[in-house]
Amino acid sequence: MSFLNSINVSSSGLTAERIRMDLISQNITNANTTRTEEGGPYKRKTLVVSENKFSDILNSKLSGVKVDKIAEDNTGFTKVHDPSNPDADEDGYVMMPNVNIVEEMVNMITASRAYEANITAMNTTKSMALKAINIGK
Amino acid sequence: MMGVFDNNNLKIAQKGLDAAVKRQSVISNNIANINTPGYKRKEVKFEDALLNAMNSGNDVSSVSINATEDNTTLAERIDGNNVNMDREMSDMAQNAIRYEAVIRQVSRHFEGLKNVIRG
Repeated sequence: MSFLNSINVSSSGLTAERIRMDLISQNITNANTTRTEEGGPYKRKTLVVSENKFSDILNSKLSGVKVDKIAEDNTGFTKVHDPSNPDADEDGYVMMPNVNIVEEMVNMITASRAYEANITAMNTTKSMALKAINIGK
Repeated sequence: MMGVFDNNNLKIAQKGLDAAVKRQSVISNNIANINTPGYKRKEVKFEDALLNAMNSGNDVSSVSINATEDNTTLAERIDGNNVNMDREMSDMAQNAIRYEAVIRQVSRHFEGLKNVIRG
């Protein structure tokens, strides 16, 4: 049983949370983007993760979390009445991105805490391994 | 009959260390998957099996250390994930302390041997 496996598991968690953080930043930055290359307003991005398993019947190796894909959130856009906006239609309505700033902030806190927890796990693993080296010294 | 390095206490300590390493790995996995939808936390339960082996006189080395999935803890989140951050962190702290305690015990055992050899 190796310590290095534990560290790989923690680092997969760190990667997933960092990517999540990047997407949250992207969503917040584009919360008011009403035009994109594909036409409509900005579509919120979310991260899809799943547990990374070895198909090992002996269950001797866990390998953390893997990022499946970066998905677009397909919930509808909000219609805002703003005739002064250059992208407003004939009735003065603008389709705004489906980004909820409050939700993004909460997700940001979650991602940040999860990142810290993974760091603590990695540090604990490291200190355990270092103590083992000192047996018999 | 029992050699210098064939001590049963040493075998039990070794099992304890193996289990602590496995447990740390499992806790790291739980923490890495704290935001994974539908993930059920895993745990390592080996103390009962070890106690049985010790009481019934079986060889301690035969106790296997496995990670089992915990489906009994209530999933407090809508996505079915039942990992509780507080519990994982406190388990990890306890595990680290137990690990160090066994390491010290093993170290002292070898120190004692060294002293005896030196005379």
